[in-house]
Amino acid sequence: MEQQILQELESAAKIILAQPSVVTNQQRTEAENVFLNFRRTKCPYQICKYIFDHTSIDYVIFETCNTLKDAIIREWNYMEIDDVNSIRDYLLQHVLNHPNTPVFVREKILQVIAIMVKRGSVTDLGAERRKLLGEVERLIMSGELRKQILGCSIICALMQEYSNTVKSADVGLPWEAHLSAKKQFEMTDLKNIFQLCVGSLNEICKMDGSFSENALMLIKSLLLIAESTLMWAFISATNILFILHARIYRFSTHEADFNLSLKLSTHWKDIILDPSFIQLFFHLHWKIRNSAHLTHYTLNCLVQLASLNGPIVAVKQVKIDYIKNYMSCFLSFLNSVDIVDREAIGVSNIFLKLLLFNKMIIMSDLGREELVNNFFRQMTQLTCHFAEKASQHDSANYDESMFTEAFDNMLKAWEHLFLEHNENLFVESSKCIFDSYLRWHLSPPYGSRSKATSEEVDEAEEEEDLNKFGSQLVSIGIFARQVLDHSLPNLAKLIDEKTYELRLMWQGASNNNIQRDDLYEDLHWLLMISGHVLTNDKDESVSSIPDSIMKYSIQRAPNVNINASLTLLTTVDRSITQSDYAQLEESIDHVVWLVSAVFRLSELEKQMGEAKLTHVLSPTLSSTIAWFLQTWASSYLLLPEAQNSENSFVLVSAFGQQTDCAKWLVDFILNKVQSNICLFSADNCVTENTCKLLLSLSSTRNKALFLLKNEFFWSVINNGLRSHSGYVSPEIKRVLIKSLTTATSAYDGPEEKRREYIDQVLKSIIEKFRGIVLEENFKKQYHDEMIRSEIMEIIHLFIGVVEVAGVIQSTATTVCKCLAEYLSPVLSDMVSLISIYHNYQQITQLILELFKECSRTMLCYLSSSQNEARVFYEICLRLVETYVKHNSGRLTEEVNAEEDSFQDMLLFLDLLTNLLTKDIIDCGLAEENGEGKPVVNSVHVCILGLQGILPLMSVETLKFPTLCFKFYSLLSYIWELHAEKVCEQPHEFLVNILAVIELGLTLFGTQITGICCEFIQFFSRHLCLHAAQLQPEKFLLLQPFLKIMMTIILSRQINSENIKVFGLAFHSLICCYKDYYLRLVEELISSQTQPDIAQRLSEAFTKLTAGLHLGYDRQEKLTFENNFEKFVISIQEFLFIK
Amino acid sequence: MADIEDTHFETGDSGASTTFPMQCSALRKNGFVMLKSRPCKIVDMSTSKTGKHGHAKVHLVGLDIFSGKKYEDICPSTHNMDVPHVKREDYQLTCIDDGYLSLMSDSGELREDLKIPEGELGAQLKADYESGKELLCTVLKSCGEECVIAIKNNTALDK
Repeated sequence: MEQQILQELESAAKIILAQPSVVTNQQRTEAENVFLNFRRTKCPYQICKYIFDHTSIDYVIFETCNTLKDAIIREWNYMEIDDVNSIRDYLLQHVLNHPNTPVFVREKILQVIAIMVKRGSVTDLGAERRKLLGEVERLIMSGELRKQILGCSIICALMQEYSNTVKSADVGLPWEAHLSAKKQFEMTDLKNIFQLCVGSLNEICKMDGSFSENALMLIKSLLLIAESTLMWAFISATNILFILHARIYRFSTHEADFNLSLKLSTHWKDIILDPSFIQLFFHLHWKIRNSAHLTHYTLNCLVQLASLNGPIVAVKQVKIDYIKNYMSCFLSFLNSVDIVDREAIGVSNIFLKLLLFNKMIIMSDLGREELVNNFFRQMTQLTCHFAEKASQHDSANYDESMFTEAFDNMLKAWEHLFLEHNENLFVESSKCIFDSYLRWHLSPPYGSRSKATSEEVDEAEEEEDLNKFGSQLVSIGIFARQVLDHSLPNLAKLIDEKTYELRLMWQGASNNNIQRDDLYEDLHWLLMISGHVLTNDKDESVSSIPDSIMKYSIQRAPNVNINASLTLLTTVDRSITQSDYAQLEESIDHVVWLVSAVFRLSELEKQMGEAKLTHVLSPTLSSTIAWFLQTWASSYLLLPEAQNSENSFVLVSAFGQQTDCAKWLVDFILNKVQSNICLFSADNCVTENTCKLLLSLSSTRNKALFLLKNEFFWSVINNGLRSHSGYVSPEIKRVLIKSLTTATSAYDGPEEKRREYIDQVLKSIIEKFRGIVLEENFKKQYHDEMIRSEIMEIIHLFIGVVEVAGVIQSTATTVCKCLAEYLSPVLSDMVSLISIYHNYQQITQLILELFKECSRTMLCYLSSSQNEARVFYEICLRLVETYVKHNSGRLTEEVNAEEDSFQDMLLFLDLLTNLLTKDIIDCGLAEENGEGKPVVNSVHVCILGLQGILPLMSVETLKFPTLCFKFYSLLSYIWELHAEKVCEQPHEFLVNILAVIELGLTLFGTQITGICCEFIQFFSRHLCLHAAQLQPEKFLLLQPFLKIMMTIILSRQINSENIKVFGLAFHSLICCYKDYYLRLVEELISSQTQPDIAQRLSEAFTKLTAGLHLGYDRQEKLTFENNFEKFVISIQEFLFIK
Repeated sequence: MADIEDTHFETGDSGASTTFPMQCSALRKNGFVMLKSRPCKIVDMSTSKTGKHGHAKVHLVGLDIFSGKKYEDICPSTHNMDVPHVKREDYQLTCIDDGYLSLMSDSGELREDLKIPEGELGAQLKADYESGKELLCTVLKSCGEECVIAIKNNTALDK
C-alpha cells in the first residue's frame, strides 16, 4: 500500500518536473491532482515516514512535508504528545543526516518542525522549544559551518512562525491563542536567541583581516536573525489595540506596519545598553561594507538601533549616554569612509531616526558641543553629496537612484528639525542645500543636470513633476525661506536671465531643439521652486503669505525704493538683463522682483503664442507658469490688509486690494487665462492648470467682489462661452461658467444684487436651451449633429453651474434655493430630452450626470418641508421611469453596449445614494407638510428608483468591480437604515433583491461577500425585532439563507477576513429562525455516513451555541462571534479530508 | 506648419459630407471618429509626447460601429480628425417580407430597404415578430451605411 502510494507520487513528480513539450496539459493536471489529494490524507504520518525513508526525489519530499503540515494543523487536537515528539525528532534527524538536502526542501521541513513547536508551546509553555533551542545552540557552537547555518535556519523558521499575525487561520489557531504564544516566546526565548546571535557575531568580528567566504555565509545567517529581532513587532498594549482595530475594520496588519521603531522593555538592558554592542555593529558594518549582499542587513540593524525608545531608555541619562555613544560611533564611521550608493539609504535613515526619536536630546541636552556640531556638519555635507550624486543619474531613472531616496530621507530629517527650531541655527546648511538642489535641477554651466532626452513619454504613466517631487519641493521651500536674502534674488536673477535667453532665441529663430528644451526645463524647475518658496501651503484651502517672507520684506523696507519696485512689477514687455541686476538687488523688494520676473516670462510666452509659435513652446512649461500664477495669486493677489499681524508696506502696495496695481494684476492674469484657453486648447495639462487658476480667483470673497465688478472678467467669460466648441471645448466652457457661479456665490453683498448676477449667469443659457427645444422643427431636427452638440454644450454648462452650487458655505442655502428655482423647469425638460435622445448615449449620460450633481451639491440645501425638494424627487422618479421605459427589454448589438450600460448604471447608483444621504442630513425632520399630507421623502424615491433599475442590472454588468461595489453598498445602506420602509415594498421586488444577495455571497469576491453578510445581518435583525408586526410571508423571506450560509460555511473555507461578518449574519439568522436552524443541524448530522464525523459535527454545533438563548442582544452577539471563529477552525479539522 | 494644420482636406466622394472635422484634442471617449476610413466609436484614448517638453499626440482606439472591428490611429493633438455623422432612429416594424423589413418612422414614412440583421439579433427579431410582438427597431446610420442595431418590445404604442 505505502509502496504503491510512493510509486504514484514519484511518477506524478516526474510529470510535473518534465519539460513542457514532453507532457500534455491533461497529464500535468492529473499529476497535480495526485498531490492535492495526497494532502488531504487522514493521519498520513506512517506513509510520510515511509516516503522519507524510501525516496530520493526532492520534490516528493517537499510535497510530503506539505501533506504532513496540513495534517498536523488539522489533526493537532487529536494527536498524542509522543507521536508529535517522535515526528519532530525524526524530521530533525532527517535534516541533520542529509546534509545535501536542497534549501527549498530543508526550509519546508524546518517549517513543519517550527509549526509543531509553536502549537505545542500553547500547552507546554515552551518546554519543547527550549529543548530544541538547546540543540540549536550546540549546533551553532560546533564550529562546523554546515551545522551552524542549519542552527540559524531553525531559529529563522521558529521566528517566522511566531511572528505571523496575518495568516493565523492557516495555522489552525484562534487568533488570541496565536498572540499569547507569541507573547510567551518574546518574553522568554527571543532575548536568548538574540544573545546567542550577538555573541557569535562578536566572536567572528574578532578575526583579523578580511572574512572568508564561509565566515560571510555565517554572518549573513546571523545578521538575518539580528535583523528580525530588532524589527520584531513586540506585543504591547498599544499595538494590541492597533491589531484589534485592524481586524475590526479589515485593514492589513502586516508586521512592517508597526515596527517603525525599536521599542524595548528594560528586560533587554544588559545587551543593548552595553556600549560595545553598538560598536560591534558599526565595526561589523565597516568590515563587510564591500560585500554588497550584506550591507543591507547591518544597516537595517543600525537604523533600528537609532530609533531605540521605550522603557529601556526611560531614564534620561541612560538615553543621553546611549545616544552619545551611538553618535560618536556613527560619526567616526562617517569620517573614515566615502558613502557608496548602496549605503546611502541606510545612512540617511539613521539620521532621520536619530532626529525623529532623539531631537530634544541632540538639540538641547547634549549642548552645542563638538559632537553635535560635527553631526550637523556631516548631515549638511551628506545632504549636498546625495543631491550631487543624484544629479549624475539619468533623470529618467529617477526611481532607481538610491541617492534620490537618500536625499528625500535627509530632507525629512531636516524638516523635522525645522518644525520647532526656527532660529537661524542652520543658515549655512540651508544655503548649501538650497544651492545644491538648484544645481541638481539646472543645466550647465550653472547646474549639473544631464541632457534632456527626446524619448516618447506616455502621459498616463508620466507623473507630473509637481506631484512627483511635491514633498521635496516643500522642503526646499523651507530651506530657501531660512536664507531669503540669498534665495529670492538668486531665483529672480536666474528666471530673468533665462527669459532673456528665450527672447533672444525667438528673435534669432534658433532651431536647436535640445538647447531649447534645456532652457524650458530650467525655467520649469525655477518656477516650481519659486512657487514653493513664496508659499508654504500644503493645504490649499488656507492661503497666506509665510511669516518669514513678510518679515524679510519689512526688514529690507528701509533700503527699498517703492516706486521703482512697483514700476518693475508692471514692466513685463521688456527684458531685464545682467546690467540691471546689481541695482535691482539693492533697491527693489526681492519678492516683487521674483514675481515680476515670472510675469515677464509669462508675457513673453503669450507674445510668442500670438506670433503663431505655439508649436515651439513647451506645454509643460506653460502649465507650470499657470500653476505658479495660481499658487502666487491664492496667497498674494488682492492681499487683504488685515491678514497678517505685521504687514509689509511694499507688499501691500504691490499686491493689496486698494491699490492702483490691483486692477492691472487681475487683468494681467485674466489676459493670460484667455490667451491660454485659445492657444493651448490642445494641451490638456495647460488647460487644466489654467482652469484651476481661474477657479482659484473666484473662490474667495474679496477676489470675487473685485471680479464681478470687473468688466474684463465678464467679457473673458462671455467670449469663451460664445466661442465655437472647436476652439473652446465644452469642458472648458464648463469651467468658465463654474468660475462665474463661484464668484456669484462668494459675493456677500445685497441679496438682490446676487440674484441679478445669477440671473446674468443663467438667463442666457436657459434662453438658448429653450430656443432649441421649443423650436417648431425640433422634433424633426433633433438628430442634426449641430443641434446635438449645442444641446450637449448646454448640459455641460448646467453641470458646471450645479457642480459649484453650495461651494461657498456661508451663502450655500440661498444660492442653492435660487438656482433650484431656475433649474427645476430645466430638469423637467431634461427628462423629456432623455426620451428624445435615448439612442444617443453621450447625451443620456450628460443628463444623468446633471441629476447626479444636483443631488450631490444642491439637494441637501433644499427644504424638505417646502416644495423644493419634492419637486426634485418627482423629476427624479420620472427620470428613472423614462430611462427604464427606453432601455428595458432591449436587445442591442451596439459596439461596447455593455460598458455604456455600466456607465449609466453607475450614474444612477450615485444619484440614488445621494438621495439617501439627504434623508440622513434632514434627520427625518419634516415628515409632513403644512396640509397634513405625507411628503414624498428621499428614501421612498431611492427605493422606487432601485425597483426601476434593478431589472436592467445583469450579472454581466455586475462584473464591473466599481459598479458591483456601489450597488451592494447601496443595498446594505438602505437595509441598514430603512429596513422598515423596504418591507412595505412588493414581495416580488424583495425576492429579486434577495436573489441578487445570494449571488453576491459567492460570486464577486471577498469584499462583496462581506457586504452581503452585513445586508443579511441588518435585514434579519429587523425581521427578528419586528416579527410580530410582519406578515408571515415577509418574515420568512430570509429563511432560505440559513441553509445557504450553512452550506457555504461547511463546504468551503470562508475567507479569514470575513469570518466576523459571516458569524454576525449567521447569528442574526439563527435568532430569527431558531427552530428551523435546529432542524437543519439535526438533518445535517443525521445525514453523515461516518459516525465519528457525525459525532464531532454534533459537538461543534453544540459548542457553537453553548450557553446562548439565541436572542438578539449585544452580549450574545459577542459570545457567538467568538464561538463562531472557533467553530470554523474546528470543522476544518475533520470536514475537509478524504 | 500652423497653416497646414488649419486646412482640412475633404476625402469623401459624395457632395453631402458624411463627416465633419474636429481638433483631435476635442475628441472624447465614447464619441466617434473616422479611423482608416471607417466610422468608429472611441473606446480608448491616451496621450504621449516626444520628450518632456514636446506636444501631445493622441493615440486612439476605436471599434467600427457596424462590424465591431478594432482600429487604431495616432495623431498630434492639434490636428484635425474626421468625425462621422452618426444617426440612430427608431422605427416600428410593420412586416417582414422576403428577408426585408418594412419599417415605419415616427412621422409615418415607410421604408422597406433594410434586411433582417444577422446573428442573434436577427433571430430574436424574427421570433418576436412571429409571436406577434410589436417591435421597435433602432436603425444606425453613418457614412451611407445603415442597419438595424437594436430591437425592443414596443410598450409605448399609445404615446
